[in-house]
Amino acid sequence: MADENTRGRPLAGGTDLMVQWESGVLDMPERAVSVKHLPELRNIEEADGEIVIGASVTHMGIRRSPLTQKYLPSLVDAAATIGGFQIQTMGTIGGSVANASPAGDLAPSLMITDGTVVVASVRGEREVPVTKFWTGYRQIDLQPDELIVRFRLPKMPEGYREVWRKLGPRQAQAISKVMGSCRGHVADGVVKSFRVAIGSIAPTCVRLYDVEKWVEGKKLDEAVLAEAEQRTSDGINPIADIRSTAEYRKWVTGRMVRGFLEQLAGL
Amino acid sequence: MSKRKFNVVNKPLRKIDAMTLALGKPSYVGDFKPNDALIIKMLGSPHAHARITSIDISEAEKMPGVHCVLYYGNVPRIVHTTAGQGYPEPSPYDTFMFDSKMRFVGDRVAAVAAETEKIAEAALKVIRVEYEVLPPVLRIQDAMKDGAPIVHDEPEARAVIPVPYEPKKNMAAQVDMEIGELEKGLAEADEVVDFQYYNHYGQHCPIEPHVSMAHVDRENRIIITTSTQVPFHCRRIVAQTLDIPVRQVRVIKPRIGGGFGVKQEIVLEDVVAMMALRTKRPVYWEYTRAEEFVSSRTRHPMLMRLRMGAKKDGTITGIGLDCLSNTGWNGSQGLTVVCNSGSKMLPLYRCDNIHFNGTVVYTNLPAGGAYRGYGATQAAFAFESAMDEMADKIGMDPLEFRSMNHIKSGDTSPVFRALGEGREGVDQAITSCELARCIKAGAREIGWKRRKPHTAKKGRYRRGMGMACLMQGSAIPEIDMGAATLKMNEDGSFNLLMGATDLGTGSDTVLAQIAAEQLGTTLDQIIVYSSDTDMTPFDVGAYASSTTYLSGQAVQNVAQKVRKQILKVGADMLDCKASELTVEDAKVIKKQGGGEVSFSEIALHSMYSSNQFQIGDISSKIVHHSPPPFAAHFAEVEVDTLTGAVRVIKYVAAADCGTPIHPKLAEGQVEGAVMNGICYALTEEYLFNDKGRMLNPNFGDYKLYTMSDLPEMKTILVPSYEKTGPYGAKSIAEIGINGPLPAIANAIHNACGARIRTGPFTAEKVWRSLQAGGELPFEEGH
Repeated sequence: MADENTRGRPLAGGTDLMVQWESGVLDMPERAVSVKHLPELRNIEEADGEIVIGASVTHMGIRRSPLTQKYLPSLVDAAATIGGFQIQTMGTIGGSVANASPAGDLAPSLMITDGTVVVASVRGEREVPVTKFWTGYRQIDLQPDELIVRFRLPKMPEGYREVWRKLGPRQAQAISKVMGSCRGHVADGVVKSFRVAIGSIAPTCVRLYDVEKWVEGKKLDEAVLAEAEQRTSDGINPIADIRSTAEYRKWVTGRMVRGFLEQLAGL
Repeated sequence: MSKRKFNVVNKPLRKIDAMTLALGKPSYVGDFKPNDALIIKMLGSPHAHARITSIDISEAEKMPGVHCVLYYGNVPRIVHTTAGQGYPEPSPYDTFMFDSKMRFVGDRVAAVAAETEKIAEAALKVIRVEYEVLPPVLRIQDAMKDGAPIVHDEPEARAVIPVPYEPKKNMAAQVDMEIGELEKGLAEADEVVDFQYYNHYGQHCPIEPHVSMAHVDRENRIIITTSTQVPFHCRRIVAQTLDIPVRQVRVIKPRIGGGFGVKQEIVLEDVVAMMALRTKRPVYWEYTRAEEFVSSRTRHPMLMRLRMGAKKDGTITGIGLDCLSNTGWNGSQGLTVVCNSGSKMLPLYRCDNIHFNGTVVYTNLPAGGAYRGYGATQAAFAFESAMDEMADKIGMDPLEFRSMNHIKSGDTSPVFRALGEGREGVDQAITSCELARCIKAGAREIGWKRRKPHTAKKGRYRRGMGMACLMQGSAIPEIDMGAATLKMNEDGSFNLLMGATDLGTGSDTVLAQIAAEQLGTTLDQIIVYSSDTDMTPFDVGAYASSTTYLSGQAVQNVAQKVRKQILKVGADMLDCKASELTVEDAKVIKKQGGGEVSFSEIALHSMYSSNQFQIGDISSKIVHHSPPPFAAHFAEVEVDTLTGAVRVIKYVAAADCGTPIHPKLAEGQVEGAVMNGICYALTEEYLFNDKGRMLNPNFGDYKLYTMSDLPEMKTILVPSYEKTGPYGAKSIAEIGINGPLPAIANAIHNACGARIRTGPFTAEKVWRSLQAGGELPFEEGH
């Protein structure tokens, strides 16, 4: 990785790259280096209130781990909606994050943990908050000699809930129109904590900090829910593409955030 | 319906090619590609409407590994139709192998045959083309406006049968028919509905795209192996297009990886034949998925206006259906598809005042073609949606409204004579119809009694039920002909040689069952070969729901003749009269008093012993009727009012196809067609930019359902006995696709009050309809 003359494009499951090379979206590199089988990148561990997931853990690995099932349920649900069975068996968390698609299904569930991405090079390791790792459309904070090695994701605290939702036209092999995750805690109808991230509406997956801040501390009555929905729709500026219209995305994102709050409150 | 005892037909036996296909043995065109085949690639037009002002192929021709470059400058200019139909074709002659005028994004500019795909693709890149870009016609409504660009301004364009054809107005065909007086009928009505409907572009999406290969044999004959539904039409049209005699062409159809109508079209064969002739090398051409979407054929989108008048008591007093059909850049099947929109739906309900107009227009978009349902799918959407809208207005249960009006056994309809396929139709009375029982059985299965009006529903998720009644035909009367040859072998087996084309439907099995039943032998004794224009007799091919009904009768006839020959030899051997004998278990048996000879003994005797001759014969069948299969479809859906998303919970299809010769395959046809129709109704959609380029020509962005999307599906076969069909059979392959659009639209309305009159029923559209109070202005819907 350090030597640019012999450096290869890191390749894990290949579920994004091989498609992009084949279709000509990306030029095929001189060489590719498989990182899928590096044992250091394939573990899911628990450490200091965090779940640490190696970059080459597959979507199926995330789905099947008792640790993620218990502490990162929305990540598990998101992994279960990626592609189909074959894609989930090959594709990895590191690859999905590096691919940096605004429709990447894992992004919202990673963002709501406020965790970090650990990248490594011969110069040592470096940590970047997940929320800052995607810097623009298909861009990430990674130098050419660096490799994503693992994710450190704070566990969902006791009493909290997470919710994942994806809107697409069919069950499998569907790229989302809109999708999102939330992590939060509502007690006696009052929002104690709320983090929400939405994908497919902007160049990168986005956290809705304004809505989070506004709703925290409020009692979830109809007026608050309605305003949270409105603030969400007003606060985003989604694109229109072949998968959906801007108008629909704006509206449905508001409905989705409202639905998240209702679910956290058990309404 | 009559109960009859059968030995081979009406039984779910193992499909005769099931094991070979399951084991992945070489079966399809691609499996037979010679190692030294040249690969063909095509340069497609980047413009929807343009004239080539200059083209330079010299650099491509010089490229090492390139053997041939074809373009309009070096091939004969022979006008023809690509529609694989009987001769003379009801489709206009408006297509050339290559032309200097481009009529859609993807139109043939040039084709290259090279040693490898890479070289062919590289050669395409160095063909220099300059275009004069013309304004395109991209909307069906604009095609016949004054001053619209003319898609077919070439002098050669013409209709070959006497039908209205005005290419200078972009009009590819027109049909108009009135029975009684529509205006009078509407005036007599207590209530009138008058709505517009639009069905969208859709593609057949066979898993195997179009694929053809060809080589020239030592006699300079062109041998084409191709994935086609119409080998004989293919042979005729290729000969015509290359200006060579039919005898110089042989077309072989191996196993087909799906057709659904799209392979009733000559899409690749003219070019592979020409390339083989020019290069004297085997050549191979397979469409990419993107080419399959834009450069093969699609379902004709139609803008429909449906007017219906009814009295409060449920009597229908008038029906008017106007269809404006978009045939795209060529007129393939345009006339006949729109004729079927009328003839396959209008007879369904009794009514004295009917008006039908079908107008087919050219645009600079992908071409329509034959697609399962063939116009009936389009009309059923308008018709069966309007039936519900009318039932609402007169305050009747939609099921009851249909039950009191639908056609019944013994009835006839003036529509049958008034509307044929591009010419006058054929009078016919309905000789088998179990639609009433289909409605009853389907209603019970879906639980129609639970159905409540949408106004009684609350909450985020709302469920609703809808239904639709359907009919189709079985072959084209007085036009379609099929033939079969049957000969006996030493071991008592038989070769059944047919022009009929199994495209994955299982028709080889069904037709072998009919032969075995008639001969008194078992299915494994029938060796089927279909289809090969050198070896098998003529058949129009697999379309118009004809194979079981039409080719089945040809097979039954020839088996009857051969059975007589067998009995005659048996009588010689047993020293008695043929009338004293019968066939059973592959033996000829004396009805009384004992004595038998096996088929094998009979074959050996007739070949080697005395009065030697080949036991065997050939028979043809031309059909005089087209008995409709009937069906009642029911859908239960759930609308998520939060997102507008529609989910089909359960789908019930009750169908009357006469005697199902192979009940499992018949069920499979219904289920496949229903699944096909459900994703067409909900997710499939061609998206175009403002220049006429399709934006989603791939399976990632053009959404077909996967197995995990399927709702619970229930197929109920309600048998009848169609006396004109083989062992009582009618067709089943097409009818199933016509139900989902209207049944789901009606169910959505019943769930949440939104009435969607344009497909597909996406979440966005349902949501916007709900926002708009249940109905969108029509123009916004499509």
